[in-house]
Amino acid sequence: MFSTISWVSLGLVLAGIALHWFVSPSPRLAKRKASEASSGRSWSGCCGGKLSTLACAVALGSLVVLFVTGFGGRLLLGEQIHGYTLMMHVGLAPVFVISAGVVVIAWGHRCRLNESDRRGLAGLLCLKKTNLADTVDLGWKLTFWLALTLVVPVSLSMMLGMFQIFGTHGQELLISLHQYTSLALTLVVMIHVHLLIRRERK
Amino acid sequence: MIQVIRTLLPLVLLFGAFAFSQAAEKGKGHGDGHDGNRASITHLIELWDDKDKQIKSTDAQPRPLSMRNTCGKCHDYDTMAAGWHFHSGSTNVLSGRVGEPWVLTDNRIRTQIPISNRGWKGTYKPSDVDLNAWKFLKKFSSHFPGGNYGEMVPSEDEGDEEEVDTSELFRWEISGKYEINCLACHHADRKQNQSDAALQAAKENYRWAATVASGLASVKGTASELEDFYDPEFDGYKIITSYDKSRFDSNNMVFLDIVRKPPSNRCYYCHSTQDLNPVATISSIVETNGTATVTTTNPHSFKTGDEVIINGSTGESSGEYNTIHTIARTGNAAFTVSVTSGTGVAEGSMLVSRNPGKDEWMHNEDVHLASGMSCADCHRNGVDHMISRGDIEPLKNPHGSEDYLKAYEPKKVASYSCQGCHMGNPNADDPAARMGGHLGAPVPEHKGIPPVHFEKLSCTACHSGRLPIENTARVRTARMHKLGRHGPHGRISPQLPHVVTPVFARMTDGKIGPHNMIWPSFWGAQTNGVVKPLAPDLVREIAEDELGIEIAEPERVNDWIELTEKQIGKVLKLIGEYEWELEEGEPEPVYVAGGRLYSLSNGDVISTNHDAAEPYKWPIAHDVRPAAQSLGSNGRCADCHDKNSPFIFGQVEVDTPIKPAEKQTVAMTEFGELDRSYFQMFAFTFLFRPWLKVVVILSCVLLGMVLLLFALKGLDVVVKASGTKASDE
Repeated sequence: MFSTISWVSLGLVLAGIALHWFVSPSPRLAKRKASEASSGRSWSGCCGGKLSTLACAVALGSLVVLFVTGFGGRLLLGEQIHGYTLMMHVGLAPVFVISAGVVVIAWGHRCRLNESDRRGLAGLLCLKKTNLADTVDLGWKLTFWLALTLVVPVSLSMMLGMFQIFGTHGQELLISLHQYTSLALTLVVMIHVHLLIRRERK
Repeated sequence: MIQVIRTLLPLVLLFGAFAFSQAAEKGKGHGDGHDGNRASITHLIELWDDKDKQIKSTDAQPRPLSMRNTCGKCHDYDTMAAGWHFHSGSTNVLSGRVGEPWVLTDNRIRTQIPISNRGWKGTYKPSDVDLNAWKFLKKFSSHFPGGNYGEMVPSEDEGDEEEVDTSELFRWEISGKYEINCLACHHADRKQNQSDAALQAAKENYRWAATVASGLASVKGTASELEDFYDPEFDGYKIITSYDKSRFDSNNMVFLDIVRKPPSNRCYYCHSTQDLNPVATISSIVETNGTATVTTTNPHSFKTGDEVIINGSTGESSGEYNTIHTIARTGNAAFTVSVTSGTGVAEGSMLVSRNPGKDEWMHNEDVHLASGMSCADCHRNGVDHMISRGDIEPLKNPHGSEDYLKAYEPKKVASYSCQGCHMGNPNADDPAARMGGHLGAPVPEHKGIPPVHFEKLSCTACHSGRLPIENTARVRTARMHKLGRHGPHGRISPQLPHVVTPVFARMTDGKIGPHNMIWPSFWGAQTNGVVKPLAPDLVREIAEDELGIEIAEPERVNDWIELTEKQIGKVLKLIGEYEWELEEGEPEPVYVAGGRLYSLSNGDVISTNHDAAEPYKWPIAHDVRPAAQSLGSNGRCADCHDKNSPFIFGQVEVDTPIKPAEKQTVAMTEFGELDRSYFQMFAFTFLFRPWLKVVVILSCVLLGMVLLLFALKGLDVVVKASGTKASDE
């Protein structure tokens, strides 16, 4: 069941990303860049201070390895993570969590929703027609916060299993929670990175 | 009229005979099962002998009780005889999960062979070592439930006449059959004494064994001392049965305190296990009142004043007690001792147990029994006596043996496995059995234990047997070591075979569980890669001198009479020169011991690996320890996930008569089929586990706080915006 859901969701997201590359108009980006230049706000995507950059890189890199080690065996071979793969996965997990903490501190302020973002969000939630300029940054900001929010259940679901709190049934629930939140985290980060790359390209 | 009567009379007689036979047949088994009333049935019954003659108190020369003819009047004896507990000696024998074998030992020829007719891998059939039913009884009847080999009397018409030993036919006639001893299990009277049955069996008084053990009668006379042609009619009664006349009422009926569910005490006679404490090695010879250095990996197992058994005492067989006083500890692995009584000890002798027999009061029973249950609460059976072994689990067939499962009705029996009792049998028809919690069995929560453990490990891995220590320990079992014999026949209690435990090895279902294990040692013959043991009597005949069979008191080391490679070579050569009467050609002589197969190559002895040399091991489930003493309980992950954990990294003793004084071991990981380096690395990571928990939790707290901060800021904006909108309106 989980494998099926993983394959389907990964496929859908990748397909969506590919479609977005070809379908989404580029003038919107040019307009946004012009407005950035006029506001004097320097926006260089992921590249902030050195620490921030490093934290970003480490977080992303460790997430890739965690994804490969966590999902690789499950999706390709139908077997649960075990052996040296498991050791690598568990070894990198604290690295990822620490770097995620640094990222949220370093990038939190920059990724907060401003007035136009809030207008765009309100419009979307109320299903009203919105100004494109109000939603151009909404995507990557929202995915940023969603990803970092998901880091908490992903981490805690495994940590809580290491204490004598949950019995077998609870442990199985925690594993399921970890699996599905990890999948969600991966998908959200993929979308986030895609949106950032699109911004950086123009 | 007369014509009519003449015509009808035969028909009437025929009908009457038919009705009578039907009635007799109907009587058989009418005592099996019950009508729903739970009260025990009072067995005030007639006793019948093996000639189907009622035994009366007034009989001048009464014969012993026959279970077949007494119990069989109401119970289906033949159905019970086909049950697991009794049926292993003939055809259609069930195999199933491997279990404790019989072990044929002969210390003089350095032999210990696991024997079973169930086809368990690693065991040999009795016929492979020239053990027919009679010889089997001679070896193993001390702890024997009866039936099976006890009733396999050959007839002169059977097969090739030359194969039937006429002398044995006479012995059977004298000794009688060893019928199923129903009273051994179902007689609740405290007078029931299976040690007496063992004594009678030792005298070949098989016909009398059950009667004497029940306390109904005493017997004078020994069948083994009578000549082959003994006939009581001509020679007079040499075996006298004297019944306790007070047991008979005025109708010659006897009350027997029979219970449906056997008390655990009955099971214990054959199914007891004695723990022997860890082993230490004497590094030098010491005389009485002398000192010796003892090396051991468990120095703290011994303390000043401990009395121990030292095997290999000079000139004497094992069993000598010596008082040891520790003088000083020299490092972690050694201490100096003095021997102040008993005989001196030889270099290389082994300290086998501390205060054996005297520390039994410290031994805890299985937690199920300690909490008031009995063996038969889990090991149940119906009339068919297919006693459940606890090995059939609710969710899968662990053995792949379809016949075994068919015989056992898994839907019912699986309810009495560990999982079935504690957690429920989802396949059971009974809704209560689906729920689990049988007889108040606690439903385990296993808090903090990831579920993957239950896929890799059996319940018994954590809950059963001895707690593992660095080196495997030894146990003795009632059946193998003839424990529980009290009397002249119980003076000597064998030390061989050495049973090592616990060995954590992979079972048929792929899970790791604890095992008892023996290392087979035997002289054999190899043909086309298949090794079969030679009958010990044949080896004695062939190599009497080389093996020193005539030496009165040979020196023993670690219970073995040491065997050198030179001796092996000589004996193999002699076996090779033996005139085999085989159609396939002469087999290659081999000797198996300590996990190696020894053979001759151009006159030199070489040793190789071979399947036949693999140790024989069988899963154990007792004694079950309380939850608090289980591996990994109360958060003790390091019980297993530690670089020194004996569960994974322990050393398994190799038992062999070749250099028996040397400590020879095999890594536990070999038996569990585990990657040692991986588990070492995995155990190393557990050192950092507490840090991992702290770091991740702190990071999550930090993340959570930042997320909360921005969420609250966002909420602030929403609240302000709502307030502004409302005031505008």
